[in-house]
Amino acid sequence: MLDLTQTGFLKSLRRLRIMTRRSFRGQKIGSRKTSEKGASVDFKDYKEYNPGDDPRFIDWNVYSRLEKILVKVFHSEEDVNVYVLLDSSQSMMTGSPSKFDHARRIAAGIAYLATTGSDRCRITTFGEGIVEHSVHADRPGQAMSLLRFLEKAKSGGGSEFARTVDEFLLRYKRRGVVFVISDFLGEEPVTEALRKLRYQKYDVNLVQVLSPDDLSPTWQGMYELVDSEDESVKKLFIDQGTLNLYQQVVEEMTREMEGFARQYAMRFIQTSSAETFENAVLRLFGIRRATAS
Amino acid sequence: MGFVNPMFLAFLVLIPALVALYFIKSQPVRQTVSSNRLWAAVSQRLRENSLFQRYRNSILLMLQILAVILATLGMAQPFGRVAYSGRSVLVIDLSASMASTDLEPTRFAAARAAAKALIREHRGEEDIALVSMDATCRLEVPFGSVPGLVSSRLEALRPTDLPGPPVRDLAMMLTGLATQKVERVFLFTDQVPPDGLQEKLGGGLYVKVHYFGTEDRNVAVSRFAFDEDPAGGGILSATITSYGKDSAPVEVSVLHEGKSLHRETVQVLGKENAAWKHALTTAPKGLYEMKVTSAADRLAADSSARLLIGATSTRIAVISRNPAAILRLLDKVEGIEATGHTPQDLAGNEPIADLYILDGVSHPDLCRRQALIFLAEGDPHLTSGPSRPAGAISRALWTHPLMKYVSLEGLTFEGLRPLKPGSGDVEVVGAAGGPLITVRTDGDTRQVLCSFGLDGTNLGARVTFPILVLNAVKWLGRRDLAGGRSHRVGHPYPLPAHWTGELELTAPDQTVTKITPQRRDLPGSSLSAVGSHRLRWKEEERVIPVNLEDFGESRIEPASRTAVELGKAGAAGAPVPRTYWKPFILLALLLLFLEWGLYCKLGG
Repeated sequence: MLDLTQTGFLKSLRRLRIMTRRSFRGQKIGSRKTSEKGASVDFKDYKEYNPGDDPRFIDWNVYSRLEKILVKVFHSEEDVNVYVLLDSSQSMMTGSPSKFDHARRIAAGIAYLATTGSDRCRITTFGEGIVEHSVHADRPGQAMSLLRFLEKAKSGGGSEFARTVDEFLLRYKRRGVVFVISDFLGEEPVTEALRKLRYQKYDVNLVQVLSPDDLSPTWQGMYELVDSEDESVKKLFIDQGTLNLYQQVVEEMTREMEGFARQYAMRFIQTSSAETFENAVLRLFGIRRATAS
Repeated sequence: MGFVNPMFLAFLVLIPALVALYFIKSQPVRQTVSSNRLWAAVSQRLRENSLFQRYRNSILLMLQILAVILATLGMAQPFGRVAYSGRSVLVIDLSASMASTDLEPTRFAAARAAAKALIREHRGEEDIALVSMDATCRLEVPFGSVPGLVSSRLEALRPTDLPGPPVRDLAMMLTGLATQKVERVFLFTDQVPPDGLQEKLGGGLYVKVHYFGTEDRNVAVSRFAFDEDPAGGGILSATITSYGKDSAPVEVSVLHEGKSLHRETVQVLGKENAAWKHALTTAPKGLYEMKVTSAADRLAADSSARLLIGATSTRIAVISRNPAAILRLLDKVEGIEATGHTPQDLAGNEPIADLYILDGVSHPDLCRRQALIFLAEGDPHLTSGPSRPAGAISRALWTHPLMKYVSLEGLTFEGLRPLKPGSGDVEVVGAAGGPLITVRTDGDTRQVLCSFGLDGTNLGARVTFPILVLNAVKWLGRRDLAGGRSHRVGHPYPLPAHWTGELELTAPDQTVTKITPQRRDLPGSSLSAVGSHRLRWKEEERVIPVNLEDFGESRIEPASRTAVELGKAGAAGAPVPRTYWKPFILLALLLLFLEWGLYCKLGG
């Protein structure tokens, strides 16, 4: 069973928080980072001290070095509604390590960043429509409840993303940032549903979670491939040529998703369940992990 | 076709194992995937690809199976026909007995078929030489000939009516062949004695003798002759021989110039000679032919004989310092053409005649011919030493034909020349000092040798001299002077001196040949068939009646065995099966390489 509240994982989350310092746009003054100066804990820049500035924000370290009195300027903060749509269909159970576990870790990372950044975060699992949703956590203290929600989340059943989006849009009126974490391998195309989200002014981020076998299967021989969701069977003789062809198909699918995401200003990353969730989250926020020189 | 190592065919059981393995491997493994959406796209693209993509697995199995089959066949070493390697000589007998019909159609046809079968067992005809033999051995086709030449030459050969070669000559020819790296000799014959050949060969060469013939039955006619009666007419005579233990009535027919003259049936017991005679009240000139037919007859060549009566004259060349004296004696004798020559005439220009009379003339060549010779000093028949007194005539062989009507009374001889004795000598008249008149037979050549010169005796002046000369001429000619001439098959025929240039020879089968003789006789090879040959020179024509007179060829008793091997034990260069394993193995390796390549290309 996935343990997202264990010490090691929490440490990873905190490390992630430090590395990302991500801000989300939202309705309530929370952890949103804007360029507006305001009482915020997020430093933006220095300016010369002018009479009337809050002396609490004088950086005395700088003064000791430069003998200049400089005042810190901070970002002003706003609340952001962060929604995490987590695919919990049966197809997410495949792979080793499990795609669902990897997706939950990524969802946990996003949720932790959102809540500790004073944003409002709700996690919703979906399959053939919305399956379950968490509380709408808006305080750092509620991060644990989100983690526990993720721990208890179950997967199974088919996948109907269009119906999920329709239900989501009906249920949640407040716009925000949506993270869709799925393998996007369902039979029905997801593009129409995603476009709906964009039309509704949601900031959409796509995380495609695939297993190593989804990305680069290595089996060769005569196989009966059983679809994990609808249990349809396809017989195929797999040899290197077939595998090469499969690679082409996967690359084409990825390019299509990337192209679609670019076209609709969505962020898209593809992650393997063999990758660490930290890497995945960092890539999601466009942060490169610093390498030791 | 067969297999040298048939046990390797057991490897074919690998094929069902391969097929079973294929089906086992072909059992699909069940694998759960996230979604078949991507695999469906892959499958669609595979279907759009070539047929090979669809059936590639089966193709690999087929290649494996084919490779197993080919490798198994290669290891089993299939072989086709056996083949001889190295050089072989085929010697085929063309002598008269090979025309015997006890094997249908003839022994020769059976021999030729066997020879052709043997040619097919060789890798190539360039390693075969073809030799034919009858009275002589001839190289028909040498080694290294173009393909098909041996077979076509073999097809063109026909048996002659000549006897077979002496074993000595055959052995010499075969021994000579051994120097040409000959591996083996195949001899196709009916009567060459293996023991005699073995003895002559001495084991230096491998010879396999194939014998042909099943019966010894045969009826032959020989010694067809005409004994002229001075009163007119005469007696035709012949010897009818029945070979083999079976006897059958023999139909005898005599023809004169193609018209029936006489017919009768005689009974000849097996293995006996029957003397046959028929009296003619008149004997007109021309060609007489005698034919014998019988159910026991197996050889046509000796079933007829022919002779010419009075059609030509006996040509006598008299060589003497004064030939006129003897010419006058012969002038009035019917059936004689006598010509006289002095020793000076002989210089490089020997006269051509049927027989010669040498009076006191020594000639190295003419002295060896059919001749009545009054020996002169230097004659090769004489030993060295002076003449000695003859003494009185003390003995005479009166029964000899030479002595018919001859009287020796009052004859004196001054000197007796020392005669070198010969194995065939018969003393006809002898004196105290030695033989006076000796008849000598050396093969076919007869000679009357007088150990004196005419100038040393009074014989020439006596009445008995012309009688003696005519008796000698008759005896030398072995026929009556009026004719009764026949010619032995395969022997040279002396030509008239004035016949120069091209001649036209019509054989008994009516084939016409143009010949330009290099010598003063027609070569014996031109007269290798019995029957009447016609020889034409300009406006002159002669009939040459050719008979088979060799009793050995009339006896067609076949060898007791069908095949005999002589020479090296183990038969060097025995035929070896021609195995074909290499193409099978190479093809199998090629298929395995191809299968491996496809397997690697398709990802193993």
